[in-house]
Amino acid sequence: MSAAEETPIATQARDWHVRQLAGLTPAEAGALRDWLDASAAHAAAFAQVEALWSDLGWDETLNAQALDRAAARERRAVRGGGGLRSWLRAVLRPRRLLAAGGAGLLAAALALAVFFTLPGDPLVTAPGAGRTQVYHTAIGEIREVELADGSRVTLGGRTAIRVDFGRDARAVRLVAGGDALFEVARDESRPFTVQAGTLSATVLGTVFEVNRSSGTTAVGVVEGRVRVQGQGGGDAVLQAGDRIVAEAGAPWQREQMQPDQAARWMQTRLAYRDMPLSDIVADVNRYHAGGVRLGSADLGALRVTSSFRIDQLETALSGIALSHGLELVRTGDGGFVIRRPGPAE
Amino acid sequence: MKAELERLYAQHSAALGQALRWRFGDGPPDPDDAIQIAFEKYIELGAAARVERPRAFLFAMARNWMIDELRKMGVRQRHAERQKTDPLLARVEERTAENVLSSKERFSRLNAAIRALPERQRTLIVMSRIEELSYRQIAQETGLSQAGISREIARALTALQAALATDGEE
Repeated sequence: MSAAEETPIATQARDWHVRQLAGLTPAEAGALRDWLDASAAHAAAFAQVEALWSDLGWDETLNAQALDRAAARERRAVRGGGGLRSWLRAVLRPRRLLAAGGAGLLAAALALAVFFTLPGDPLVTAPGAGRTQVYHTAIGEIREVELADGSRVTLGGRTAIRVDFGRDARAVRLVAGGDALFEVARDESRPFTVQAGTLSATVLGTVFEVNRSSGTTAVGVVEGRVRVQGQGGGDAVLQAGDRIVAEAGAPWQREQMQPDQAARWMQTRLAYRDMPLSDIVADVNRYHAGGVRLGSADLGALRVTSSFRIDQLETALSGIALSHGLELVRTGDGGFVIRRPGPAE
Repeated sequence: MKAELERLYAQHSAALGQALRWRFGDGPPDPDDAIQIAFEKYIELGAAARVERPRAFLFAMARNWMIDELRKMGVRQRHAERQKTDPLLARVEERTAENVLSSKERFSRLNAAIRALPERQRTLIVMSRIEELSYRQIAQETGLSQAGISREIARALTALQAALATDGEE
């Protein structure tokens, strides 16, 4: 074999590679093995193509294109119907909000997410007016409550809602900053209204969300129809995919809702870069009932970089412990201790 | 940095999850774990300063982690036949985020060559390499024959190898 610039071996190696992508029959696989065994140059050329192929997996342009293709498929799915519903299910799945009720429940329920980031009015506990209930959570606490009509509400950290159920109306008001996701039982005779900031949203159909943050309130409809009214007299009926953003003193903005905009807080994620372990432990203890303790106080000074979701707490803690040569021990009460490994046993 | 990460996460996690689920299903391994690992790697590497398109990079890390996990679990899905036919070929993707970054020069040269490929060849590589579709699936989506797909990918690889060989003295 004469040594050309671009050897036939390189060409053969590429041919084998693309044939292998197509799937080799046992006979072909045998032939490939023979070819590889025939010379070290064959094996080297083949390894080179394989390494290139492997590297392509990291290329940003190719990965970006794959993501764009995935996004295009998602858009098609949304347009094709059912996409929003499956998206919603995906968003809610981690909390098993709808899973418990099954598909029938989804059809008969609405999910409503209300996002606050500002501390709101001071929490006023309602006087003993029978039907009025106040629910609130501490910082970082996530809690699910069931309302009298069968609706369920998941409250994010530092959230307070006031619920007034009457004979012909169901009214919910967010009275302090925070986040809440409502899964509302359908009851045609008693419309369900959520008041958030300057907007109130009344359920006409099925699924929608409300966001509020520093002076801005938004309502987006996932499924069905929702009537939105503003203090300034605005009034609109939103369809699936519609979203209205209201800012104080400005006209409403109408936009299309992106599927990834809702209920993000439910996946509360903590991220730390080079922070003392003691800070992380303090944050985690707002979320984790059992609590996390340090075996000795000096461990608190260790610098840690990590990012995790609350429901991945244990994995994250064991990762942190591992990377510092520490060990994570479960305590009887459901808590954790991070400590230096003791002598064996 | 925390704010930057939160922004990144908010922007990209849903799209990443969707792409991973489309490719791998709901798991196990859990695509959410893959995303978490990808973000952790991203932080560890201090990658923010070095990666031009974090979303694609995070996706690559998450995807490669999924593949590693599947291999560890012995659940090989689409890799199955390929790896059964020849154990020699079972070793793939030994690359990690770390050595990808350490050989950044090679990767930027490769990236330039990839961008110079004809659109069709690039799309075929995306489908085969990134999405790991079979030739049959690719043929269905593109209308090309399987032989045509082989030919186009081989041509693309020729161009990429040439680009790596000429530009880089090594």
